Amino acid sequence: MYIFKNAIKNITRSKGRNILIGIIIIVIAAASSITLAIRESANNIVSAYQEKNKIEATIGMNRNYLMEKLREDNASQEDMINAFNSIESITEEEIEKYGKSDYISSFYYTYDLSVDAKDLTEATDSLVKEKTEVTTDTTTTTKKTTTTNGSNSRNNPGGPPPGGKSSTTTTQKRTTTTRKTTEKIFNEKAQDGAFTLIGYKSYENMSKFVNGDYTITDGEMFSDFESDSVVISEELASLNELKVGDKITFVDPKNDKNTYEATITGIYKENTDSSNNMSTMFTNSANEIITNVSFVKKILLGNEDLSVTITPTFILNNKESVELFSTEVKEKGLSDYYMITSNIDEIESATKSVDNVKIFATTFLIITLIIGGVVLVVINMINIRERKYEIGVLRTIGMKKSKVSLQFMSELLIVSIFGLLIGAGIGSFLSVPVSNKLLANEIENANAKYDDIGKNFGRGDIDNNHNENNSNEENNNKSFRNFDFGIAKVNEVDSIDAIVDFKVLGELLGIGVLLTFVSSLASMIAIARFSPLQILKERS
Amino acid sequence: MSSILNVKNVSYRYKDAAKDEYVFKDLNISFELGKSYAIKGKSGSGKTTLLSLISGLEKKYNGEILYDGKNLKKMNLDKYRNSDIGIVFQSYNLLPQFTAEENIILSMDINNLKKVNKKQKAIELMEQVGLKKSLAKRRVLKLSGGEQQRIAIARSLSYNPKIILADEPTGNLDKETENEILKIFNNLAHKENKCVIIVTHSQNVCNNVDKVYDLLKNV
Repeated sequence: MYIFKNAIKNITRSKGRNILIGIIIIVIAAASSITLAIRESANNIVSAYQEKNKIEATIGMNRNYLMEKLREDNASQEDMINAFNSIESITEEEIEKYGKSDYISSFYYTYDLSVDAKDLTEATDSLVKEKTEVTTDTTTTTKKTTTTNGSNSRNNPGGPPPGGKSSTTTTQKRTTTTRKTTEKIFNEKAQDGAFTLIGYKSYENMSKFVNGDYTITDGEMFSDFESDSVVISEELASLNELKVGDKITFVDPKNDKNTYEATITGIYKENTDSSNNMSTMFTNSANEIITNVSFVKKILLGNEDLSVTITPTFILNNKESVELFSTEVKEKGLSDYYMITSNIDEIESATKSVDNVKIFATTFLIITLIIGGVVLVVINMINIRERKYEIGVLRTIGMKKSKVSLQFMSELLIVSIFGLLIGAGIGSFLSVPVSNKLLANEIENANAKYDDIGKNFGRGDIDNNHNENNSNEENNNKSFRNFDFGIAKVNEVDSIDAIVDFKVLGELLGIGVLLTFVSSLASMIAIARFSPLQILKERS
Repeated sequence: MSSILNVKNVSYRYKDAAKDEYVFKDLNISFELGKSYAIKGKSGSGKTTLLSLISGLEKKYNGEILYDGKNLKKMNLDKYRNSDIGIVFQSYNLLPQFTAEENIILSMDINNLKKVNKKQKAIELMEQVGLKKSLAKRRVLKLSGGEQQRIAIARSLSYNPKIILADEPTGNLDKETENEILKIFNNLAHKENKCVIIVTHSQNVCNNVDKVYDLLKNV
């Protein structure tokens, strides 16, 4: 106890020296608390984002691999088409097999089936401009389609081939359906239906509703997963003046005699910008109709020629699991014609700015601690040399080396605690504006880089194109910015509430104690090596 | 009366000295309680070195020093210095940031004295060495040389040691103060039954103690 009392006496009676040490500790503590608060908040933000947007993987066709194979074999265009058509959708059994993995927390799969519908107008996507010339007679319909960009995707299986080509087709008259089929030149499986029925097995599998991307605005989600029920988008409902309780008649796209009626139990709203999502960039997700697996299977039973895509979704434990799961699935026998794709890039790009701020904060923290530690060690050594006489006296009158060291360390610890508290106070005051300034710079840099990429593609400066009269171009640019170049979604997380909480204070205290010990270590060694006799002789 | 301290065949040489170049060799002296002693000699004769050996500050020597029959080399010397002997230096060696009273109490704290009103005892010790109570709260740097030396003596008495070792305790003091300090030491020896050992080159000190040991160079 007397050591502590004497330490306080020494501090209060040697103000100059201790104020100097205190200022250094305040600077270190303020810098450390800011960086710790930023790190902690950034971690929370990333965790919260990853909690909301789980890391998912799915299995899709490896088109690149297939194309390479076909090129090696000098395959003709017809061979290519046949090769693409010959690849079967992955089966439920395979999915169940792959689902037994330690790298995933859960998995589910949906049945995606393209269908037509009676008296139902499809929602069109702004990226796919259609010029339709319809000539109707009693037997035929002609439709000309032009695209500004093009790609086959799950949700636009009937889309034109890539490259913006025009195509004209004459097909059998189908006056009962709103969508007329286009020329079947690429993938017959992908030519069916204007709407996509997505069949779920349970509520848990409806991830878009679970994570809040979709919300029911009218009615409710069907509770009977065996019923002929559907939930449609607001856009589709509005376009066709449909309401809850109305019935939709779905039509087999390969045999319009097969029709299936389902009741609308709910209408959903999409809360996110669908153009952020690669899978729906070139389609309109409003044409997705939510139903249950039972209803999809009912349609499938009516026509053996209809092919359904079973889309598995595996919820991965963490980002390290992506590679491990992929390897495991390959080992379990997944064909090279399929590949595992995940949303990890999308998730990482959304938090990239926060991660960069975190890395900067960590680097700054390390530098601060190193420099601060060195300065403290030097000051302590000078302090010990100045107080050599005092050490000699204490040792001569019988104080143990360990107690002398303890007293010196106590003095530093007391000054450190005061410095840490003041520094933490300053840090908590400054951490929010500093972290948000850093994040704003990061976002600005990322956007500037993005705009440069846009210019390279002839898009010009995005901000300069902000013109209400030019909505199409604006939409294109917006979509362009949202395209994933690795820095997309820079605005997804645009604020860090860096708060110095108890955890940060605890870490700060740990740092303070560690710094005190490290900087005291040199002085303890010096104290142990001092000979009191020698000190007192020098003094005399 | 039996000796409280026995120096038996003690030889000492510096680390960098030649093999046969001793500060003193086969030194045999003894000290008893209730007496005052002076160790005198020329500069370099090893007076202060002998005091260092006796006080346990220096451990590398040949021979043995026995305190109350126990070999110093086998004792806890920190404890020995803080309970069995009190040391008084020429330059007082007080802590300048502490008051007179605090310097004395610190010594009691180190000795882990319990069940004692330390402040009260510090005042009593100050009065015993002829200091006024009013000086208790004064920083030691604001005291005169004689007053500081009295505080140093009071500090050395704070844990009631049997031996008081003093290294040139009056070297920085005037004759009158020197006599007063010597009077205190003699009182401690004769009235308090302490063994007082004073290292000095002052003839006046030698004249006022019970026994004088003369260390000649290269004994």
